[in-house]
Amino acid sequence: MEVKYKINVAKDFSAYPAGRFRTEGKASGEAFLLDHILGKLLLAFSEKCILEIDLTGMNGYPSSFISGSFGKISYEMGKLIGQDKASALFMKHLSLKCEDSAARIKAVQDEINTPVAIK
Amino acid sequence: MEIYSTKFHQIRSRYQTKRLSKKWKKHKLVNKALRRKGILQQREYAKKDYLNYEAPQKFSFINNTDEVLKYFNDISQFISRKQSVNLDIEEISELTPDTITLLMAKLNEKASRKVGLSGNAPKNPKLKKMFTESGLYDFVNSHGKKIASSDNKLWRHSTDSLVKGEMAGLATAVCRNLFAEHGIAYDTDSLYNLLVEAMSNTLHHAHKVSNINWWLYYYLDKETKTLKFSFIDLGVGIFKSASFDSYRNLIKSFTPGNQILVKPFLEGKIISSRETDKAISGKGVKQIMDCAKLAEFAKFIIITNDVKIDVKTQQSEQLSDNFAGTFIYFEISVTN
Repeated sequence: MEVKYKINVAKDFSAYPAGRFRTEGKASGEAFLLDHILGKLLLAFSEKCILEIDLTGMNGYPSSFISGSFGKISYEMGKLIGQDKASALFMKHLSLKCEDSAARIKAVQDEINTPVAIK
Repeated sequence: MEIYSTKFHQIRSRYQTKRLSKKWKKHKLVNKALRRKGILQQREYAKKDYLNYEAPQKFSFINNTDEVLKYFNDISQFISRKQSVNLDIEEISELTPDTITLLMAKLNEKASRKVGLSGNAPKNPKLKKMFTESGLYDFVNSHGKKIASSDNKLWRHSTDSLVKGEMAGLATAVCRNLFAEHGIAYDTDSLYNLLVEAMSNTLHHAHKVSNINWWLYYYLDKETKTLKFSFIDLGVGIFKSASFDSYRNLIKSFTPGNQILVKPFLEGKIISSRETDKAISGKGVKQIMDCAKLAEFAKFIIITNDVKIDVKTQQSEQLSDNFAGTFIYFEISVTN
C-alpha cells in the first residue's frame, strides 16, 4: 500500500502535546484526534492506503495525550468491530515514524493495541 | 527607515485611540480604586500586631517533613483566625528548594492574602543567596530589587487554565542542556511526560474545592550537578480526591489514615474519578511511577494528605499532620 497521507505532529500540530481533552488546551489529544487524525485515517481506510504519522520533534508523549488521541479512536473502533480487529486495521493503515526516539513509536503502538487502562 | 517610521506612527496612533475609549478609562479608574484599596488594607495590617513565628531550624520539607508541615499548618490556623504573622526564617540552618516552593504556595493562597503576612530572609549567607535568587521576590512585595538566578525558575499557574506543555518544554530544555554540558545526549521525553501528567492530574483533581494555583520550581545545584524539581498544588490531595474500588473503600473505612492506599496508588490502581473516558483514562500515575524508576532520577518523593512516599524505595511514612495538597519532588542527576 502506498503512503498517501502524512501528518507531522510537531510541525502540523504542536511540539508540546499536553492533556486529554480540548478543554485542557489546544495541544490536547482530543484536538489532535478530531482536527488531524480522524479525517485522514478514514480516507486511508476507504482508499486502502497508508497514513504516515511522523512523531519526530515532539518533546514527549504524555499518556493523557496518546490516550486521548490514538487510544480513544482505537477504543471506539474496538467497541464496533472488536479490539483485536480494530488494532489490526490501524496497524495496516497507519505507519509511525520517529527519527529521534524509538520509545514514542512503541508508546503509540501499545496504546492502539491496549487502549483500556489495566486496573 | 521610512517603513519603520510609518509603522511606529500607526502603532502609536492605535494606542492613542485606545486610550480615549470608554473601556480604557473605566479600567483605569477600576485599577486606581483597587490600588487605593490595597494601600488602605496594608495600612490596616500595619496597625495590627504581627505574631513572630519562628521556623524550624531544619527548614526542609523533604528532610524534616513533620516539623515543617506543622509550621505551615500552624500558620494556616493563624490566618483562619485573621492573625497577622511574621514568618521568621532568620535563624534556620538548613533550607532546601522544595521548601521555597511550599512557602510561596502558602503565601499566595487566597486566604493568606486576606491577612497581613510578612517575612525575612535567612542569616546564613549561603541560604540567603539561595533564598533571594529563587525568584520568590517576583511574587511578593519587598524593599529593593532582588534578581532571580538563571539557574532556577519559579512558575505559578492557575488550575482554571490549561495544561502548559510549553512550560514543561522549557524545563526539559534546561535538563537537556545540563546533560549536554557533560557530553551526554539525554532523552528528556520522560521528564516532559512527568511534568505534563502532574499538571494534568492537578487540573482534574486538585481544584475540586475551588480554582487554585499550582507551582513548579526547578533549582540547579551546580555542586552536585543535579536539577531539583518541586511541583506543588494546595488542593485536596491525591487520596482525598481519588476514587478507589469498593473493596479498598471497605478496607479504608476500618483502617485510619491513607497508608493502606499507597501500594495500589504506586501500582497505578487508582480509579479515575471523572466520568468521561473513564475506561481509557488512569495511565498518568503509572507513567509518573515509571519515570521515577529511571536511574537518572536520584530522588523521588510524593507528599500528600497524611503520607510521605519515597517512590524510589516504595516506602511510605505516616505523617503526624495532614498536608492538604499534593507535593512532588524529584532530582535528576548527571552523575547517576
